[in-house]
Amino acid sequence: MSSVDFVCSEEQAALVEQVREQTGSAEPRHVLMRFLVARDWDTGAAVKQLAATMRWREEHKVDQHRRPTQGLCGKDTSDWLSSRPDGHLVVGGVELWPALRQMVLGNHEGAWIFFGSPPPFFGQPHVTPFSYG
Amino acid sequence: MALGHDKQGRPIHLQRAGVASGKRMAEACAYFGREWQQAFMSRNIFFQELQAARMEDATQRFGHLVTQQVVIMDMAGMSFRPDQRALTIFRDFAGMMSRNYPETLYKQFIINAPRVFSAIWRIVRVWLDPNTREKVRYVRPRHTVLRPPTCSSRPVQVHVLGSTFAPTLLQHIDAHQLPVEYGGTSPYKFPVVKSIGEGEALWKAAVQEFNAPELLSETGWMAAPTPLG
Repeated sequence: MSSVDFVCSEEQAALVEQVREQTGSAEPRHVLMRFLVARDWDTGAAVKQLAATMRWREEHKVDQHRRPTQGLCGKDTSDWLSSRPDGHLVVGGVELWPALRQMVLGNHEGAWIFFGSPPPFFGQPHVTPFSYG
Repeated sequence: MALGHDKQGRPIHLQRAGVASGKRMAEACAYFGREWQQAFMSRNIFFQELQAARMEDATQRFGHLVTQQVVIMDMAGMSFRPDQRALTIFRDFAGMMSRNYPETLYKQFIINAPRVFSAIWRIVRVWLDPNTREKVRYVRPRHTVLRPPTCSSRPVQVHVLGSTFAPTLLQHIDAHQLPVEYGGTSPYKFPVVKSIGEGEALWKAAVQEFNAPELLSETGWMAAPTPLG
C-alpha cells in the first residue's frame, strides 16, 4: 500500500467507501477510484465492473504477478542503483528496473497495433482528483 | 518495453509496433502454436501488472500518487497488410484493458506514423466493434481524441507524430529517460532479436531475473479454452 494517498472531495471518498463495502475489495483507494472515474461516478456500474475484475483476476491468477511495492528498486538493490535528485532511479544514466527493459519482447508486443489503431481504452477524469506534482 | 518515466513519474510503455509487425508476428504465432492468443494475452496482462508495480514504485520515489502510464507507439518499419491475428490480439487487449485496468492511460504518442496513417485508420475502424469505434474520434488529421464509452470525462490525448517526434516527446519526458533513438540521451541499446527463439531466450532470462518463474511456461499460465478478458 502506498504511503501517498489520493486527494478527493468528501463526497467522492464516500462513494469510494461505498464501492469498497459492496465489493469487499482490498485494493487501495485510488484503484477503486479509477473504476469510479471510468464509470463516471456511477457507483452501481463501478461495483459491477470491479466485481467482474476481481473475478477475472482470480480466474486467471493475475495476483501471482503482483510484486512488492519496492520491487526490484527496493532497498536491497540500492547499492548498485543510484537515485537522481529528481527521483529517477538510474544505472549508468539509464533509468531502469533492471531486466524489465527487455521484459516484453519486440516480436509480440505492439503487434495488435499493426493496424495503426490507437488502443481505445480509458479516459481521464474531467476533475483531476490527484495532485500530480 | 518498460523504459523510463515521464516528468511526473508516470511509467512509460514503449511499444515498438513496427518491429513487432508482419513477419515477426507470423513467427511468433507459429512459435506459440494453437495457444498464441493466450500467450499474447498472458504477456500483456503480466506487463500491465508490471506497470502497476512501477506506478507504485514511482509513487514512492516521486512523492505523489502515480496511477497512469504513458504509451509511446513506434510505427517505424510497420507493414500495412491486415492480419487477422493482430486484430484479434488488439481486440483482446483493448477489451481486457478497458474492463480491468480502467483510467490508466495518461497520454499516447504514436510516432513515426506514416502519412497514410489516417487513411489506414479509416479502413481499420470499420472492423472494430461499434462500442470501440465510438470511443475514438478524429479531430484533426494529426490529432486523435479517445473517448471512453460511458464517460463524460476529459478524453485521452493521442499525439500522432511523424518522424519529427522528438520535441513533442521531450515536452513531456526528460531527455535522460529516452533512448537516443527516441530523441533522448539515455545510452540504452535495444536488443537486436534475430529470431523468435532468440527472443524467447531473452524473455526467459528477463523473467528469471525478475523472479517470476510462473511465466516460464511457453504459452503463459492461462488455461487454453477459457474465454479471454
